Order: sequence, then C-alpha cells, then structure tokens
Amino acid sequence: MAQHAGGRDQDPNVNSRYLVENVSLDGIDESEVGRSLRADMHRLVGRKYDRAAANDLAARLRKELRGYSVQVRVRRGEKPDHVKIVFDVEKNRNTLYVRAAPFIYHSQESFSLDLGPAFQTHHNYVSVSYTTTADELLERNAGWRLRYEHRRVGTDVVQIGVEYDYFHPTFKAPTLAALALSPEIPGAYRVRENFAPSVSVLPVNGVTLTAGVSLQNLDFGVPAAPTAHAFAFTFDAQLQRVVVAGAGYRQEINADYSLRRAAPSLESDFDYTRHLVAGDYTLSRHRHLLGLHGRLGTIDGGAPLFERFSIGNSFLLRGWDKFDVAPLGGSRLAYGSLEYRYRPFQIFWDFGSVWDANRTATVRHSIGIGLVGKNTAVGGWFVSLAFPVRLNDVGPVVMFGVRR
Amino acid sequence: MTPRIGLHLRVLALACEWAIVVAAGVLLAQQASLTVERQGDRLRLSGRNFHFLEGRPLEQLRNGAAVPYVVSVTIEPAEGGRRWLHLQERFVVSFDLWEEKFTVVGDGPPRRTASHLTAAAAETWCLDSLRPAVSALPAEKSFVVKLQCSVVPDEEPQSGEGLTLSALIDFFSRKSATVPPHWELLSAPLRLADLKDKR
Repeated sequence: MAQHAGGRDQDPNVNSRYLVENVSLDGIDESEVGRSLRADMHRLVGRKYDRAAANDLAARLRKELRGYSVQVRVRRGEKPDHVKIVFDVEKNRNTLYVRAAPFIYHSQESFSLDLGPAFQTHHNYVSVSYTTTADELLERNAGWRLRYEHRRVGTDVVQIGVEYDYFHPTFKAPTLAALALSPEIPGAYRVRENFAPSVSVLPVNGVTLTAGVSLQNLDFGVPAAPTAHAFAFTFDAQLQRVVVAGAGYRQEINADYSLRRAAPSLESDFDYTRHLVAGDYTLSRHRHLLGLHGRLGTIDGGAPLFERFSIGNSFLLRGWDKFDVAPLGGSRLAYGSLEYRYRPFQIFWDFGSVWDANRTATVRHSIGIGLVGKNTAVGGWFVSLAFPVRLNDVGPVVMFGVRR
Repeated sequence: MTPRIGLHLRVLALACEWAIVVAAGVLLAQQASLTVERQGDRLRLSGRNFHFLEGRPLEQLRNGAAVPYVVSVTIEPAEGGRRWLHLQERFVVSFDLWEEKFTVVGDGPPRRTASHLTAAAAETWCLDSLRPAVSALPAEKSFVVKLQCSVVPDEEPQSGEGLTLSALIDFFSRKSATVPPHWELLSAPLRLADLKDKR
C-alpha cells in the first residue's frame, strides 16, 4: 500500500493517467450518430482518460439517440497503459416520445408536419399522430394516423403492423381545373380513409419484405357516386446496405421496390397496378460525400389521385412547383438527382419528368444549394435553396425541415 | 410404526436439527458487526463482514469510474438522546484497470491518497481515517457507535433545453431515481472504561 498527501486539483480517478487507445459504440452503427458528436468521441483518442469528458459524451448521445440508454464502459487497451472507451447503447424497452417528423417548410406549399406521441414497449410500437402534409402528394392531407406494430412475431424476422388513416384532403385550384379537363382521371375526394394491415419478413440483415393490403375508402361527396373503394394488394422490398471500405471510403445504398395492385377481384372500384423503384447511393470519405438518387415509376390503369406520381417538392425536383410540372401528376415517373456535400454544405442538380402514357415526357432540371445535418442518404435536417432551370420565372424556392 | 421406520425418522429429525444449527452458524458468521477498540486517545472501528465495495458501485469501479462515498461515525448515549460526536469524511474510490487495485482519496483535510489496495484494505483505510477522540466521551456512561456509509449520487445531468415538450415527456416517463446504496452498522452498548487500550 502506498500513502501520500495529494493535491486538491489532482483527478481522484487512478485511471486518469492512462491514454485513450480507442473509442467505440456498441449496439448501433456509428453512422446513426451525428458527425460532430462522432468527431468529439474520436477526439478523445490519444488523450489522457477523462471520465467527465466520457460522461459528457454519453449525455450527448442520450440526447441525440432518443429512446436509447447509454452507458460508459472502460476496459484495458491492447497497448500497455492505454484504455478503451465503449459507449454501450441499448434501446429502451418502454419509451414514450413525441414524433415530430417529417416537419417540412416549402415556400410554395407552406408547412407539412406529422406530430404525435409514440409509445414503444418490448416489441410493440404504437403511434398516433396528427398530420397535415402537402409535400409528397398532389393533395394536402390533413387528418389522423394510427399505427400499431409488433416487431417480433415469434421470431426476430417476422413483424406485423396495421395502420388506420383518416384524412380530409384538399386540392389546389390548378389540380381542380386540370381535373375538369381530364375526365379519364378519377376526381377529387373530400375524405380518404385507409386501413392497411401488413406482414414484414426480414430474411437477412438490411432486407425487409412487406406484404399486405391497403383498403381505402374515398368519399367524393357526389350524390351519384358518393364513395369508391381502392382496395389494393401491396408489396414492398427494401434493401439497406452500408459498406465501409479501406482508405476511409463509405458507401450507403438504399433501394426500395413498391407494388400496389388494385383489382375488382378485391372488390375494388379501381383497377390499376403501380410500380415504383427508388434508389439512393452515397459515397463518402472524410468530409466529402457524393450522392446519386433515382426514381422510376409506372401506373397501368385508372389510379386515384393519391397514387399518381408527382415531382416538384422538397425532395424531388427541388425548385419547381409541382403544379407547374403536372397539376395532375402522371402515370410515369423518371427522376434523378446528383449531389455533392462538403461537411454540411450541399450542392445538387435534380432532373426528371412525370407524364401520362401516350404523352411526351418533358425533362425538367433544377439546381440548388443547401445545408444538411446528417451525412446519410436520406433523413436528418436540411435547409435548401433551389432554382428551376428555365428561361422565365426563375424564382428561388426555400425549403427546410426535418425528415425521418 | 415398525422400529425400522422409527429409527429412520429419528435420524431424519437429527439431520434436520443439525442442518438448522449449521445454517444458523453460517448466517451468524456472515452477519456484519462493528468492533470498537481503544488505541491511546482514539477509538478504532472495524467492521466484520462490512463491505461497501460491492454490487453496483463495484461494477461502476470496474468500468473505470471513480465512485464517491461518504462515511460517517456517530456516537450517542445508549439510552438515547443528543449525539455526543459525529465525524464524516468523503472518499473517492477508483479501480486501476491495469493493476487491478483500488485507490482511495480522502477529501480530508488534509487530502490523502492510498493506492495499490485490495478491496478489503481500501475499506479498512476509509474506516481507519475516522478515529473518534476518546476525550469527547464520558468515561462512565454507556454509548453506542453508529457507522454509516453511502454512495454520493450522481448529479442530475442538465439538458440545458429549458422547458420543452420533449423534456417534459422525458421527465414524466423517467423511472424514479434509484436510492443510492447505503450501509449501516451499530455497535452493542459500550462504556469507555470497559474498552482495553490496544496500543
């Protein structure tokens, strides 16, 4: 035993004399943590072990990763007199939180918001939210969403979910005017109800296959045909891959195929088949990121307005007003986007078209700059300023918000 | 009942009695107790089976954290009443991840450090740091000594967000704070005159 009088400022933790060899996260992928926090974590490497600094980072992780618990674990390093810091991240079994995303402002569409409490306990997830969104579809959806998921049905690879939505859609004048000239397209509805049970299978890590039905009731408010059913079989296949190669290169791939088939055999008043393929690829190294994004879609048959493709929003063909592109959307979609990011600074070029079968496609372009908060293909906060590439009316479109 | 069955029952009853005696002995041997000795003008306390480097605090120590403890000694009349003496000191214990030994820093004053200790030696060092003066005790009156030890709870992390909806929900969905670990021992009634000087 050694005894001595110590200075008042000396760290009482005997391990503070050791150097930090490595800092890591256990339980989640590092990419789920913001870049600045990640950088601060790795900044500890090579320094003397400071428990207060490690605790401070754990507190920041807890704040950033809502619904997770974070513990600091310190172990001997591989090198003598070095220690490793591990942040153990574990999802809380019982979590109540408020979901406030997506939250998007678009200078031509105003605000879009999905807000409500979500509760997760064990493998069950329940959320109720009020939504008012005008970003993605041709209509502004205002209403309620109720969702339940059981994320482990006997095994980790099977999940079930059911969603009920009740919306009061409103349509803008350009859409209503175009509808009057297009009798082949089903009209505007006042109420849209959706009941959608589904089963998901996760056969391998990063792959999700979901099959279900979407039973939608549309209330047109017309005495002759007050309601119509859009009952469809749905199928989604999602792929998510992160590949970290040597020399600091990181690739992230998200691919999604979605099929919706509505047929009279399902007692549907609509008969259509909708395919959509979406792909997002990013290649990043240190502070640089190159992103390629694409969408291809086709609809055969007479689909209601909520199924028709639309571009000219905060994500697709930024800078354009979707009602200038196609006030009724289209049954064909071809879209691409290229972006480059340095730290949060972003420049992008979007191009694409929506059109109807037997009509000519007009490809439109837009360019823009922005700030993004998360170095991943999708999700996180963003601020964008985009311009349509055309000769007249080249006004900027301002967008900001948070995506899921 | 045949004699053979009666014999079996007697053997069984005897075995049960012995099992009870052994279990009671084991329990008594594990019972923590406080021993008070006189060493010159000071009292020295030692706790048999009194361990505070255990459980969750020990887990934290093995995770590289420093755990602050407050140890106090209180002497009061055996028949009750106002305490005669109260000593308290804060100790910060840490566990050397490479040497696998404990270090204790006593806040003092003066601030003192003991390193390269086993768990038992670290606990003893803390108790040895608190030695009540004999002069504070009446020679002929009986008294009891109370030894208490507790972990100083972590300060609640401040989010700095102010009153936000998510902060409120976090607050109401948070589990109630766990009570920090606490250990306590009480001596049998003692008289100063009965304590032999073990200098």
